[in-house]
Amino acid sequence: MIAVEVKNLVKHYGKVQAIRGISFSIDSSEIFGLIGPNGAGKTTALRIISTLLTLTDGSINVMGFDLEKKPEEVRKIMSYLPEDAGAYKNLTGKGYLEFIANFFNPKTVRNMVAKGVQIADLGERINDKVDTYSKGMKRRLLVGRALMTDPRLAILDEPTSGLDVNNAQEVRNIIKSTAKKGTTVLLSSHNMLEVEYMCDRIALIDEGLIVEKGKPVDLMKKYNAKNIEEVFMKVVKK
Amino acid sequence: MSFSLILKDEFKGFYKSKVMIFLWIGLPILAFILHFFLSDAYGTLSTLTAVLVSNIGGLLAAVMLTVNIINEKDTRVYDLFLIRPLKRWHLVVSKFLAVFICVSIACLLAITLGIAVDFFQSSIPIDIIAQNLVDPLIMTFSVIAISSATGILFGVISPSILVGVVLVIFVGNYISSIPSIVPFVFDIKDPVIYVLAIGVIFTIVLMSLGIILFERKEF
Repeated sequence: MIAVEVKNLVKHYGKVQAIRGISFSIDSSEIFGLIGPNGAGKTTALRIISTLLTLTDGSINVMGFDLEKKPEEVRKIMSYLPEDAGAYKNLTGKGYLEFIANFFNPKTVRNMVAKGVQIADLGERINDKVDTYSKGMKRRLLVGRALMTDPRLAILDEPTSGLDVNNAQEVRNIIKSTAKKGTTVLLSSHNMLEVEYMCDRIALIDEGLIVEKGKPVDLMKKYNAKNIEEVFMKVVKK
Repeated sequence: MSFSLILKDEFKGFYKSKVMIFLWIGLPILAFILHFFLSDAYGTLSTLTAVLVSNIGGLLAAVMLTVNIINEKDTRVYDLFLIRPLKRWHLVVSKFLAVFICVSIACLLAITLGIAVDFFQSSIPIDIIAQNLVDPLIMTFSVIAISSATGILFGVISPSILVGVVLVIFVGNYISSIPSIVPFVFDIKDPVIYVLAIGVIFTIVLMSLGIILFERKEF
């Protein structure tokens, strides 16, 4: 079953063409990666699907809902982790998770917070103010916030950005186990080796266009490359 | 549900902010000093205190709101709210209400303290003091409401904190002083209705503009 379908998506910022007509679809419970260098249009695409930006042209369907016509319905079933999201600094980590959980069903708040605390895995520091957290700790808290709601679609923009090797590995495992439980994951990264490990399928995006897509293994075979980084270089040079 | 949550959060954030702590303490001290050193002539001093505290409170309210909104835009705090099925105007109105109520209470405390000093220091009957309190209070609330609304509007439209603060100081400050200037400029005998009307109309217009622009804004 197709969870997300993007058709000929175009986004202009004034005269700048950030996205120039991209199409892709994501199956249910799939981890789909949008891969590309900085400025390729990954974040713009994710922010449009997250309903934060409006599209200039094209159409997007999320779990049967037209994004333009029913953004409220899409918001109910998805969660978004921005690349550089800010958490409320005057709250503790746990207070922040509780604050966000309260926007959902009041009966589920306790379970949701417990799950968020478990994913963030900050130990006793979860009771400290967010202001005192390191960049990596804030990121883990935000990953916990994004996944504690058991969203049907999780949109994760550079989920391991700013994390050290151990933390990044843990977050990758969390994302993989979340997808196994039924969540569809759309993520972006410029770390091509990371997505090779995590994603079921990927789309390589460059200058607002998808230049190649498929399973990482298939793409490596097709381009006779050792990794996705090499695939990307070969595709872009073509 | 979501509106009350956001409003509660905004209150928590604002009432114990450094600027608010300055207002909670500073404005009553200012009012006390004014009344202690100057003598009142049947409410003149109350009006003077009201003009002063409302202008200081109003300016700081506008700066607080502008800086807060621009900061939250920059740090992408809004992303986390806007992806939830809540109304965008809730964010703006909750900020306005939180600051308006906090600053109004601080000003009310200051003016009440001034009145109390008047009462104990002079022989003015309490009923006259109470009568003279109505006009300054309405003017104070009008100024703070307009200031808070300009703070919201400039916070939404400004690309940086510097631009926002400059707009508040050089434009917002003049707009918000209109209710306190009108009675003096036009020598209106019963200005309270005009002051109230100006406060309500300007606040509604500025807030509506702020909300419309916030609704259309792409984050």
